[in-house]
Amino acid sequence: MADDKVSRREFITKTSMAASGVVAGAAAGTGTAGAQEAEEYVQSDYSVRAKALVSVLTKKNLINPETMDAVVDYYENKVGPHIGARVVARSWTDPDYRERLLADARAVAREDNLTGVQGTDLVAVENTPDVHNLVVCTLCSCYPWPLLGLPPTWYKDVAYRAQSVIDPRGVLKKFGLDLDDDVEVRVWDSTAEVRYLVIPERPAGTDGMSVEQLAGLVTRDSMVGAEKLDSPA
Amino acid sequence: MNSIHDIGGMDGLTLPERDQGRILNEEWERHVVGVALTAWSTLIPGYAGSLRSDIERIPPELYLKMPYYAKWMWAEEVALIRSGLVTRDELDNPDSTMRTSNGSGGMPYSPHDVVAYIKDDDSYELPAEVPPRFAVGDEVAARNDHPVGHSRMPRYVRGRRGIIHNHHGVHLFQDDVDENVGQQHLYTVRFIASELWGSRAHPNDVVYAELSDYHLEAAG
Repeated sequence: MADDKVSRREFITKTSMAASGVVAGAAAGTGTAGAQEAEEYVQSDYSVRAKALVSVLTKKNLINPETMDAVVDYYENKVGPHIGARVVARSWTDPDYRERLLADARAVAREDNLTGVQGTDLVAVENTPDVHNLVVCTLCSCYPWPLLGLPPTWYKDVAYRAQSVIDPRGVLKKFGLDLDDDVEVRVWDSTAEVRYLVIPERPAGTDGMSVEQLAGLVTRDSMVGAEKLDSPA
Repeated sequence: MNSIHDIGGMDGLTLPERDQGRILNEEWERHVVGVALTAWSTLIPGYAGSLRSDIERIPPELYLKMPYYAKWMWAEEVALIRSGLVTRDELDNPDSTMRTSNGSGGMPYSPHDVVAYIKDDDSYELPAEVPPRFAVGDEVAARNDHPVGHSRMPRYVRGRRGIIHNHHGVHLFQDDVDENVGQQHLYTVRFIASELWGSRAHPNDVVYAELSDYHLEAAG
């Protein structure tokens, strides 16, 4: 099977025409999907539906349940913010690495084997005393999976998507971060396939700590720009 | 299309607390993510491209009622049925005898192969065969256009002026447009917040969005 596998880029390129054809055909209709069908869907039991979906696909040999479990295990237990945290900690201790990361994060991700679905076209932005960066995807939920894992619920919430572009300071204040007026706030709306990693400021009182120790201080939400990091207690 | 998914700038919604627990909380969510990533990779031609447009066509009043992964499952069902791989009747009667699939899906990956697939280089950049229309520093305006199909240009930037901040080369263009628009260079465009939000904007705020040649006109 591995031999038959087309590369991700080939797959995307080959299938994009098919996708746009399908979508164009569907969009030529009423626009939105059938309201009655959608209403019934919302009223249904999602657990029952998901079981039915997996059962049908398995019976028809369209998915391998062990493969499905491997995917879920990967995103629940293998990939997550600890990966991004190590990148951040290394950027704090290695000025050359930090410079390369800020100049071309995608190249660094490739060098360090941090590529993957939803996150290869990576850009890193740094928070400083004068600049605060906040990442959002107003149209859906784009997020750097290979570095942070699947996004948390708050990041996908319609209120966050709606307000972070028009009132980022208000959102941050509700999240517990009150920024001074003279700080520049940069909001990054991931509308295409570029994915953003925020490099938070290194907390005071961490001189001499190792990369591993520093990585332990870096929170998931700080790498989205939703909070600043505290000095170690 | 101008639907509820394009929600940037809307008032009145209640911001949640930042959840810190597990990212998948229910067993059905695990199933939905598992199906998405196994089906995404091998089963349905164009699935990766159609997931978002199928979600965007959920009626707005129902979109707001659906949990996040319920929207994914909706799109999975829609795409699987459209592809001919499964029927509505089969999904409604999962204990019945399945007829042979008439779809052209690929073989499912083994558990080992799927992890390699997930870690594959996922870049959407393509070799450039045409020059970019814009350079870093150029003044541009986002087109005031309201397509009925899938678009990556959010409403809040349409007709607004910005500056090219970054150029990413040619990327796969995913908007649903009838005409053949050829290769599309992708840029990060920097908008001063007051250009987007008028007097309500903070003077020190800026918003960046990725937009393609197709979305942009020269300005200045």
